[in-house]
Amino acid sequence: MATKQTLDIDYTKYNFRDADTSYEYKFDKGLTREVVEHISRIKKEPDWMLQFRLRSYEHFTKRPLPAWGGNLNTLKFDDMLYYASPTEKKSRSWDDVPEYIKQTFDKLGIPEAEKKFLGGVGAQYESEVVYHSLRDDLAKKGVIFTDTDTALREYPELFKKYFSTVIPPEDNKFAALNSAVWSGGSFIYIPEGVSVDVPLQAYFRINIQNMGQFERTLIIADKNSRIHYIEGCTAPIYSTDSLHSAVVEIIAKPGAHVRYTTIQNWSNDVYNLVTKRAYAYANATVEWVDGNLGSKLTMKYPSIYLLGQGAKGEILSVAFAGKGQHQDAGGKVVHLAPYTTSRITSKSVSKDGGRTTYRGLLHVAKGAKGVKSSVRCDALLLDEYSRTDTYPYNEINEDDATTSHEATVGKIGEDQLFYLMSRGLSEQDALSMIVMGFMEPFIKELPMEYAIELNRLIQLEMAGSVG
Amino acid sequence: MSELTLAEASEQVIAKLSQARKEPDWLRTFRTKSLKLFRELPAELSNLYTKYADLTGVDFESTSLELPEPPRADIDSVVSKFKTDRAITIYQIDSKTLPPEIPEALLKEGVVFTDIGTAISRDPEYFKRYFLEKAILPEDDKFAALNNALFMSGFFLHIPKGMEITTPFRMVTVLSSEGNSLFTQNLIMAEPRSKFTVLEELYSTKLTQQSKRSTYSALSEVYLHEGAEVTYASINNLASNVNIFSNKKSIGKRDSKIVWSSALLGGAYTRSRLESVMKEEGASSENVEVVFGAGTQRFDTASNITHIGQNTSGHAVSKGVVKEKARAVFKGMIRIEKEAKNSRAYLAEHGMILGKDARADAIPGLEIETNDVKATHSASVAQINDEDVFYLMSRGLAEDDAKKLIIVGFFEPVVERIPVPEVAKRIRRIIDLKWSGVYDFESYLKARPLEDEYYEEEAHKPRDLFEGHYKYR
Repeated sequence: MATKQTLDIDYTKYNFRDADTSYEYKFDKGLTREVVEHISRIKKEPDWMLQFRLRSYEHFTKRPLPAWGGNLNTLKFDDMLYYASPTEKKSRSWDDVPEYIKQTFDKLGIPEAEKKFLGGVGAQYESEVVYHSLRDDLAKKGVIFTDTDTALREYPELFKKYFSTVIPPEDNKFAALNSAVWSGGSFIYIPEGVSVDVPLQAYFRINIQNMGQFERTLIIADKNSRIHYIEGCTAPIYSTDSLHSAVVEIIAKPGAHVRYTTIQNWSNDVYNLVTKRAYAYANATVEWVDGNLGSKLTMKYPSIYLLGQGAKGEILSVAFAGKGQHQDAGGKVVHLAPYTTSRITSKSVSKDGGRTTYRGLLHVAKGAKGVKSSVRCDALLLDEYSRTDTYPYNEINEDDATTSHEATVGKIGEDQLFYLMSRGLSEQDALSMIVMGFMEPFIKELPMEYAIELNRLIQLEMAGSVG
Repeated sequence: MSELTLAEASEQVIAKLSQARKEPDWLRTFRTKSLKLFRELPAELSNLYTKYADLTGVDFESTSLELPEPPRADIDSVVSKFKTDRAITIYQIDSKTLPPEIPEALLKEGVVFTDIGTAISRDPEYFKRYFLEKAILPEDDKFAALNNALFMSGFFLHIPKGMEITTPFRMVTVLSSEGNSLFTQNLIMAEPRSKFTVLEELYSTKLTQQSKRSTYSALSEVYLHEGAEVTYASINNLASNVNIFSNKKSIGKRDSKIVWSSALLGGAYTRSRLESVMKEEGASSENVEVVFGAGTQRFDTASNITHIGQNTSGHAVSKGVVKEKARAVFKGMIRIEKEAKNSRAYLAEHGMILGKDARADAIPGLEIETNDVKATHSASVAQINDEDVFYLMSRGLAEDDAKKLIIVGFFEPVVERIPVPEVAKRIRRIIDLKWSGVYDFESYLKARPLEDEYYEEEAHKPRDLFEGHYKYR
């Protein structure tokens, strides 16, 4: 089969940049102590936060880049913009949002999504959250859904109690960077017993060249509460690189159920280096649903620490690497309590010289009896130029754990293609159909409109892949 | 003789070793370069495994570099214990190597089976070339470098074109002294379409000074020419005070086949690296490895499969049982390079943890650079299945016997591949005794073979572990 594959993500929907980029604050490139202090001053933060930022900055300067993973040599920290705020105050009403930002999000379909389906929505443009709303009934129940800066001002005690307890700045270089210059992100608190039946959503967008986006999300789900949070990410294409380095912390109290869905579709010049971690207490459930379609290099391994008896963790990770892309993704589960269960499912597709890597950790600590875990990762290579790697780490310290790991790598079966084509499908359609079938377990987990969107994206990715 | 420790290995020591063995200059240069690399290289070259590189307990300061001359053990009595006429055997007892008795017919055909020192002195020109491009270069691994610097024994086996030999070539190594080191390098050349079997056995005599650590290092290289088929079985049952460093590698040319099977039972700390390279079209490899850890034993094994040629197939299974405070790390990497189209690879790592303080880690990796392949890997950790125990108990076995039988069965895929029946029997017995907590050498030799109870004498064909696996269908 002569498959000359020329596949590019169709960014026409996302690849618009806003001409009118007038910013309230926009710093010079590069990161210094002064920049960190300045960010904190603009935000009028309490002293402890400034100290926290400075401590993180110190650690960031000392910490070496990770020696493993993707190629970070071309990442220039000094060429990045660390802070830019497009508008001074947050808007509660869509009408208050400046026109050019409104256009941007209109193109992305944010307010429509809200009208139809979502319980709340936040949108972040560069460093600051520009729009936030929450359904009234949820607010009445005591649900807090706001941007992280506001939370620091309005809920200082709650904030200080949980902030950075899951991911300390010393965790890794990019967590340190985020801790030093973080801005925006979502802060969610769900009170005991409250079940939020519609998803809360945030949308992140980078618009300036060489911009770094460092949002910080903190979700606290109190006992027996329930929440589904969705984030989407996009950026237009520039010739030089941007950096997205978020930190997401989730605390699921006993019996809580948290699902966190990410559809990452950054343009092909964004480094996406994200630290995500959740604590799950007794009988709590945490689910990460993680879709990585865009970016130049993604290094992201959502992790779950199962801290209480009966806690459950599930990670579903999907990666699609096209030309020039490296998706280094996976998941980590650390079993620290008895009778905890976990499942990691990873699916990846590489084409046009793209590279996908699954990097996972399954750790069963001593004393974590009766643990059950299964890990499954499948990789599909669509052509001979692409590459896939699997590095699963299984560390078992307890004698009655039951764990399994399976992985397969393959190409699309010609007999499958032939079968579909014999039923009248074009080669292109048949190929799309097979890839969609491969991705099915992931798509099934998404809310309706996201599933449609993702299907469309995969179809776009597949377009022109057979010639 | 002054007690020179491994930590003190230096250029002077190498000069002395080389001189005593009357080695050519190039070999001395090679050794010196290797020693330098040993000092420079990190314990793990790949940063994937840095976290697991744990050399605590490997104490080079208290390990002597020299072996007593003559050996402490009574050679005749040791040899008599391992004698069999079903194999052609080289005995290596401490520093002493006993030449094998090779049938006239084989010698006439050009079979060479001798110790490596003799082989080098016979044809230095050939080996000079070989050492420049050998399969395991000192650059590849810290402990391969150490072996290349200090090797003092080992065998050279050369089987000419087209020869099919059913009698296995066997090397029995017995360490009788404690606190010493033995560095062995084995080299196997399989000419086109030759077919034969190699069996390697390692034992220690009864421990006298438990506290003293010894070092055993072995490097084995197998070169398979077109259509050659080699089976390499090894049993490692050294005493619990020996640190073991093993590197094995095969390079397979067109349509060749290598079958490795290893049982890692003894040692304090065992570091094993095995790689099968399928260099040309149609080459294949199988590697079956079992680990049985008890007490405070530690195992660090890697089983790698590298596909370079088209239509190659590689299989590896590592199985391990750890009880008491034993620990094992199973690493493995399937690497399929760009040109290796239509290749198939399978890697599995299965552990059974039988103690509260035991631990097993598994890292089965894949690096795939082309699409027209099928590669699968799996890893699991579990316990003895209660239902199996119940079934056997319902048939009248005591609980401990039922479990023992299950454990012996767990290792059977490797044991049944051992080409000499009496050795296979001995291994079953070792596993059986180890399960019961008996670890010393004399008991193994005295013990009644387990087969009398469970097994029939007749040789059977080893089960198919790979082709019939569901992932292959």
